[in-house]
Amino acid sequence: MRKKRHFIRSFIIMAAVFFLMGSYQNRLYAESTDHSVDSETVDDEFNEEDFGESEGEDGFGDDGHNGFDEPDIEIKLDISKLKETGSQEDSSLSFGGFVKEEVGYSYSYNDSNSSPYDKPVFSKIRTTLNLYLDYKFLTDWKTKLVGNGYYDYAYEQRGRDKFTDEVLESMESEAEVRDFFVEGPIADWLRIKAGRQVIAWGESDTAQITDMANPRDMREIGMVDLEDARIPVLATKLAVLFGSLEVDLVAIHEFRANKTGARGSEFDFLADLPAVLATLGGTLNEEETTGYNDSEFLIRFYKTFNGGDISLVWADTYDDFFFLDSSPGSASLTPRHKRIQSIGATGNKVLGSWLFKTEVGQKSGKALALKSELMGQKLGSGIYKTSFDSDDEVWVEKNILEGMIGADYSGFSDLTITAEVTGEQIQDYEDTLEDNEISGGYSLRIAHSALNDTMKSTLFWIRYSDDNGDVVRADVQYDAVEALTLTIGVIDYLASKTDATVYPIKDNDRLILSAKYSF
Amino acid sequence: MKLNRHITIIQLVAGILIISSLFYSSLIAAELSAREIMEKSENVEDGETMISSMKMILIDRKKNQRVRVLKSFRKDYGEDKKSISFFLSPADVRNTASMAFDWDDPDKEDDNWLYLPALRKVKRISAGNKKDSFMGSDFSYADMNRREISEYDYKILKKSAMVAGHDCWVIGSMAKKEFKKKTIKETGYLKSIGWIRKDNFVAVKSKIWVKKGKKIKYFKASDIVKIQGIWTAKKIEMKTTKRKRLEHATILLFDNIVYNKGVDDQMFTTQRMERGL
Repeated sequence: MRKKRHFIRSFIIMAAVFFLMGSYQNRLYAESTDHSVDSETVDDEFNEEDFGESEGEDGFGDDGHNGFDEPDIEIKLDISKLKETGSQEDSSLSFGGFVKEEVGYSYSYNDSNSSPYDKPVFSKIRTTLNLYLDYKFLTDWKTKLVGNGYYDYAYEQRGRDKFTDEVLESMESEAEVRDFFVEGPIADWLRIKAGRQVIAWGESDTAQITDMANPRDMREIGMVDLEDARIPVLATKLAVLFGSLEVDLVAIHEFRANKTGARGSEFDFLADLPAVLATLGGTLNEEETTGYNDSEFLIRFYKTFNGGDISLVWADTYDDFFFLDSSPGSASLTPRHKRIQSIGATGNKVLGSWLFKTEVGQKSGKALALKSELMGQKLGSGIYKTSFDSDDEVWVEKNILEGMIGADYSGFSDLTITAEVTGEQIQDYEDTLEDNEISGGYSLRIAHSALNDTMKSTLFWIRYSDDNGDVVRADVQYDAVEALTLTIGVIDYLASKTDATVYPIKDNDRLILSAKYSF
Repeated sequence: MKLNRHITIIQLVAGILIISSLFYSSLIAAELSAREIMEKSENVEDGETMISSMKMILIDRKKNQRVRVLKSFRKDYGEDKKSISFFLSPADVRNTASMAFDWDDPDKEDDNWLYLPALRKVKRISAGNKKDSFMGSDFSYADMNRREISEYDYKILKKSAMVAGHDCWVIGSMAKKEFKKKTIKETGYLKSIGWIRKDNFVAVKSKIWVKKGKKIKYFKASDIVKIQGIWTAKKIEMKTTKRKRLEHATILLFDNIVYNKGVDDQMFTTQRMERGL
């Protein structure tokens, strides 16, 4: 019952934001567009005519054939703006960036939560500065440097003493070099790109099947901007071109894990675990993110053809998702990262207004957790493994098959609809595993643009299978003036089952406001 | 800015030429039939390759202006065309790139890709709704595509009219009855009138009736010069009006146009889209 109420409430909120904004767009249009005009009436004006008939002598109405009759609308070009943009293409050095102010209001916090998440509150008041520098040199070589930093005043405003050090370190402020690479041709058919970079592969918007090069920022699931979602890594990429076939050879020289919710944060998916381990005399240790010194390797064959693209991907990497490993000599757990091998294929095909897409793959050597009661029994037995390499683990190594099918439809005016179904199957499944043998999810994205593309509305909904919850986001972006984008939105997390994936974050629903100025 | 169905500015230039050719051009030879004139107009010279820069000025009802700057490359492969465009500004769309392969064979789907720097990812995109605005401008995607000449009736409404000192024909165009539904669905346009210069067959202005909202579009081309033997309009504008009041306008300023200069085949790859200019 509670789930139903929650669902209805969330649906109403989403619908209100998305569709009221749509109405606003329509109202703006309505000022100048008479939607009451019956389109069939318009059609009828022309059904029986050709030139020289019904609409006057020539079929072109009162204007007659002489009539351009353009309204007297004088437009004076803004010369200063044109001058500003005048020399950009000739410049070998360019720099810019953006300033963004974000406010998040967590409206679902209530007394049932523990402090500091016990009442509705402004949970984000973040100022972000992003700067980039591009420099072109020699013939067709370039280097790029992107720096990004933010400070979130919400923690000071709410009282820093309410938060763990991990939360403050992870969420209150950050300054880092994002992209920093040099790129150029070695031969006509061979190019190199070396440095911190993003390598984005695959077809899916929601699943990481062949898109294995970069870890993800998952500290605030569903709220991270697309441009920040992939975390750049230090890598060397060689691209070999054979006509429409491209072969990419990638070596990654640094290990960076997914950024996940810090211990004690509102997106801490392991929030209950330390208390459980304490009863066994153990602890939940810091995530192990160092010591992964071996390079990671990826190869992609990518070919375009008329109406579609295909690719084959092989990867030998560390898993960016951690697994929980028992610590030698104690009942403690340590989040660690395991080496895995991946192989996969992607494809897409255009048919009219449809774009069909698919992605399949297998990940070998994933570490999957035992059921929590079995894990508890092992940890509570007092017989601990002597090293991380011991066989007596609280996890099992398995291969996983993954797949995605989806489609984009853009046949409606100014509207694009994207739907995806993702699934994964654990091979040689054992009942001792915590995860289900088959799991997956469904996602839907509806994007609408209006007012000559100055206003964009997006509704995104992802549902995890087996009642593991939903994440729904609706937002509207408006380009108020050149380079200034205002955003209003809402995100809602839905889960009723206590063991659902989304359950630990179900009260993190948030209203979002932001202003971004690019320069 | 809507970028999910992208067509390069090269196609825009070609599209403007097609607008002119479809409706109005090649009528200098009075003895030619309308059909012959239209077929001839399909072969308007536009060079084997083209490199150009464009400033797109988007103007709203309050005359607020937004400026987009693009650089584009096109290459013909027989009757097929490949083109790629890069956004240079404004800052929030800088490095966005689009690429299109326009196949002459009607049985082949045109290929379109879009590179969004925020995603750092090249995405294939479908043709979508051709009535939609091209990049938030007053030009539609349908404006860029060739229309079937055989689906329209044409009529010379006036044999001589002066526009900016140039003698023009005034030509009306309307879909034939049997194609009316189809063409209106594809283009959103009901009919049009155009003014064609007699000395070079370039459309200098036109008036287009839009079905949705009973809007009227006004097209104008000016600063028409011969570049490497090819007539080229360096300024093009389209105003969308409703009851004679401006709704939105777009002005395109072309510059640095070079025809028939070697354009490498590797310019038209998804890898190039990622790299940018």
